[in-house]
Amino acid sequence: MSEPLEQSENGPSWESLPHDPEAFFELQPGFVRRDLKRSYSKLIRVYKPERHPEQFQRIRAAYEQLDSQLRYGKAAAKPQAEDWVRPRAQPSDESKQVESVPSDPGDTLSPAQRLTSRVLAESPKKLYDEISERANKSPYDFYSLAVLSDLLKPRKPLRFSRWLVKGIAAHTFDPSLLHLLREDLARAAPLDALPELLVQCAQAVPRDDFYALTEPAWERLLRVLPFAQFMKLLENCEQHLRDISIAYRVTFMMRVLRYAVWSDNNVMEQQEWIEAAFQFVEENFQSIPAQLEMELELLVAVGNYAKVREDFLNGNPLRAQMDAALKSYMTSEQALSDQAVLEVQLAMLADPQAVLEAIPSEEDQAVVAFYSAWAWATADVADRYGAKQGEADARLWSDRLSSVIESCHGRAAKNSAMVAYSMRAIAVTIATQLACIIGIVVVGFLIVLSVDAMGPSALEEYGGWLMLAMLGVVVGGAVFMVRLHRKQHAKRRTSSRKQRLDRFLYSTIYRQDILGFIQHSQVSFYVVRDYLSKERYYEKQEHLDAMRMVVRDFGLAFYSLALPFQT
Amino acid sequence: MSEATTTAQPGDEKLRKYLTFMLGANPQVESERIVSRRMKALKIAAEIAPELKQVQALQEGLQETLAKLEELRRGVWTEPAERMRGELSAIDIVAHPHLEPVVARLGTLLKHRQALAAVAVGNATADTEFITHFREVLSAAPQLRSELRERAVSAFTDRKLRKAGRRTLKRLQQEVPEICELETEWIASLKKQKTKWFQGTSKPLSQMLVTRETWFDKAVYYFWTAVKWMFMAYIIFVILGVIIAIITGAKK
Repeated sequence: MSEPLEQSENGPSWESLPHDPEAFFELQPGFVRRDLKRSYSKLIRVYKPERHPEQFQRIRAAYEQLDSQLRYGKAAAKPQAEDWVRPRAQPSDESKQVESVPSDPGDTLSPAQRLTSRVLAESPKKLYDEISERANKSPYDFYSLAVLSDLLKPRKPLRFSRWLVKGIAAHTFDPSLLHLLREDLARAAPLDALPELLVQCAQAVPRDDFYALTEPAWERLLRVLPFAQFMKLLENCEQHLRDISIAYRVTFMMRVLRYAVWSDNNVMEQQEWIEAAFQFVEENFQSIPAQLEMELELLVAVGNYAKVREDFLNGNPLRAQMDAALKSYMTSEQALSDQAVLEVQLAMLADPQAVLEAIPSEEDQAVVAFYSAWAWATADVADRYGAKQGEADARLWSDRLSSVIESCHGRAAKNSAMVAYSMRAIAVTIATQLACIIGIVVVGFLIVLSVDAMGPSALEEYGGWLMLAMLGVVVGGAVFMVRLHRKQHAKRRTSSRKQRLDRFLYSTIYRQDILGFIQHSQVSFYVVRDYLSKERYYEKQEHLDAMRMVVRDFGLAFYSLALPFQT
Repeated sequence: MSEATTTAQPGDEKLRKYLTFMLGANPQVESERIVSRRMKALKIAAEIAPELKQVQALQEGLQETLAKLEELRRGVWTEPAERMRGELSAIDIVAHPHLEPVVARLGTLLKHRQALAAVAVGNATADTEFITHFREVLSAAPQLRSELRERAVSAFTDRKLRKAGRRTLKRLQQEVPEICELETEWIASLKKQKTKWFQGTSKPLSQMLVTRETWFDKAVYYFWTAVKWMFMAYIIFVILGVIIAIITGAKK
C-alpha cells in the first residue's frame, strides 16, 4: 500500500495537482517538451509503479495532460471550471469531505452534493433508474449513471464508458465528460472494446477534439493491433468527423506515424498509407505547433530509415539491438526506451571493436539513415540520463591527434601491401616512360634514316627541317608522356585495386588508431572530423584519401555518441 | 469489485466511501483520480509493461549509484576510509555490471591512499605537485581524467618537470604499485616523453597535418615539373643528335 501522497517528504508538490501540473513538474514559463520529459523521467524513477502505484498514475496523468496540451494546444487544455460539484478544500481527504456535506440539502447544494447525500440512504438501483428515466439529462446525470452502472453491472465495465460517450453526444462540449472519457480511454476501457468505443466517440465528437480525446486509446491499440486493422478503424472513425482543422490531424498523424513506420515494408497498402500520411504532415508543416517541429524532424529521419531498415538489419547482433532500441524509443514508455538506448550505448562502450564491425567504414545509405534518427534518440536520452560531454580542449589534443595521424601515415607507407603496390606503380611508370623514350628515339631514328635514304644532298638541303622535325618529335613525345603519366596516375587512384588497398589501410591502421585516440581522449568524433575535413590538401594523395575516409566513418561517429554515457 | 459489490448495501462503509468520493469528485480536475479509484475498485489492472517495473527499478538504482560514485570520487582522498569503503561495498554492481571497473578502481584507491600520502610526505625529493596531479588523474571522471593525463604528458616535455616527475614516478611504482597499475599506459607514455626543443613554435594541428596551397607552392611545383621534362627532352635530343652524328659520320 502506498503512503498518502502528502506524506512524501522532500518530494514534488502534490498539492499542485491536478490544478497546476507546470508547478508540479517545476517547469519555468516557456518550457519545452524536453524539459517536461526530463522532469517526468526524474519523478517516475522515484515513484515506481510497484511501490507507489497511485503516485505513479498521478504523475503519468499529469505528464500526459501537459504533453497533450503542448501538442494539441487548447483542444487538450484544462477546461474552465464548472459547478456540478462544489470544489473541495482537500480532495484527498474523503472523510473530511463527507463531513462537509450539509445535513440539510437545500437548493443551494450542487447536484453532486444532493446525489451524494441521497446515495448514502437510498438504493443505488433506485437512483440509477430514476436518473436514467430523466428526459433531459445533465452532464452530471450522465456521469452519475456511469458511476452507478458499475455498481449494478460490475462485470460490464464498458457501460461506464458508454454512459460517458452518451453524455458527450448529448452535451458535446462538456469539458468534464470529455476529460473523464479521455482518461478512461487511456487507461481503463477494455482494450478489445476500444474499436467500438472509438467509433462511438467519432459519432459523439465529430470535430477536432476527437483526435486529442482519443489519441491515448489509439496508442494503446497501435501497440497490439495489426496495422491493417488500425487503418480500417481510423478510416471508419474519420468518416464521421466533420469540420476538422488540419493542425489537430497533423498532430495526431505524427503520433500515429511513430508506430506506423515500423509496420511491414512489404505490404503495399500500408506503405502507401504511411507515404500519404507523411505527405499530409509535410504539406501541412506550417500548421503544427512550434513544439512539434523537432519531433517532425525526428519522424522524417525515422521514416527515411524505415525504408532501408531491411538493409540495415544485415544479421549483425549490435545492429539488431540498435534497431530495437530506436523502435522502443519511438513506441514505448519513456523508461523502457531510455533503458534500451542506454543498454546499446553501454554495449558500444564495452566493445568498441563490435561497433566498427557492425558499422564498416564503407558508405552505406542504410547506416546514414539510421544514424540521423539514432543521434536524436541518443541526445534525448543522454539529456535525461545526465550524460554530458564537455567541450574538448582542442589545443590540448591537437598535438596528440597530429602524432596519431602522422604515425598512421608512416605505418601505411611501410605496410607491405602499400610497399608492393607502390613498387608496382613505380615499375609501371618507369616501364611506360622508358617505352615512350624508346618510341621517341625510334621515330627520330626513322626520320633520320628516311632523310638519309634520300642521299647526302637531302641532308644538307633539308637539315634545318630535319632538326625541326626532331624537335617536334621530342616535344610531342614529351607532351604525350606527361599526359600518359597523368592518365595512368588518375586511373590508378580510381582503380578497384587502389580502392581496396585504401580501405584495407584505413580499416587496419587509421580507423583503429583514431578509435584509440577517441577512446583515450574522450574527444568527440566531430571535433576530430572538423580538424580533418577542412579544405586543404595533404602532402600525399594517399593521406587525403585516408582523411576522406575518416570524416565519413559512421562507425567512429556511433561510438562517439556513446562517450557521454561513460562512467 | 471489492468496494462496490453488486450486493452492497448503503450501510457498507467501503461502498459509502467509494460513492461519496466518486459522486462528489469533479472530473474536470480529478479525472485521473476518478479513473484510478474506479480501476482499483473494479480490479482493472493497469496496462503497465511487465518489464517496466524492472527497468524503473534499474534506472532508479543507476541514478542513485552514479550520484554516489560521483560523491565517492570527490571524497576518495579526504573522507574517512571506513565509511567510504562501506558505501562503496553497498553499490550494487550485480545490477549494474558496467560500473564494476569504477568501483574496483575506487576500492584500490581507498585501500592504498595512506601509502600514496606517505610517498608525498616521506620523500623530500618527491614532486608534490606531480603527486597531487596524479591523485586527480586517479579519481577524476573519464573525460576530465583524459585531459589531466594529457596535460601531464604535455608538461613532461619540459626537462626539469620530466626529471622530477620521473623520479617521483619511480618512487610511486616502488611504494604503491597497485595504484600505478591503474594507469600503466599513461605512466608508460610519461616515461617515453622527450624534450620538445621547438615547443614554443610548434605548429597547430591543422598546419602539422596539412600544407596550405599557396601561389608560391604552385609556382615551385610547376617550375620543377618544367625543369624535369626539359631535362628529359634535352637527354632525348642529345641521344638523337648522337644518332644523327653517327649516321652522317658513317656516310662521310
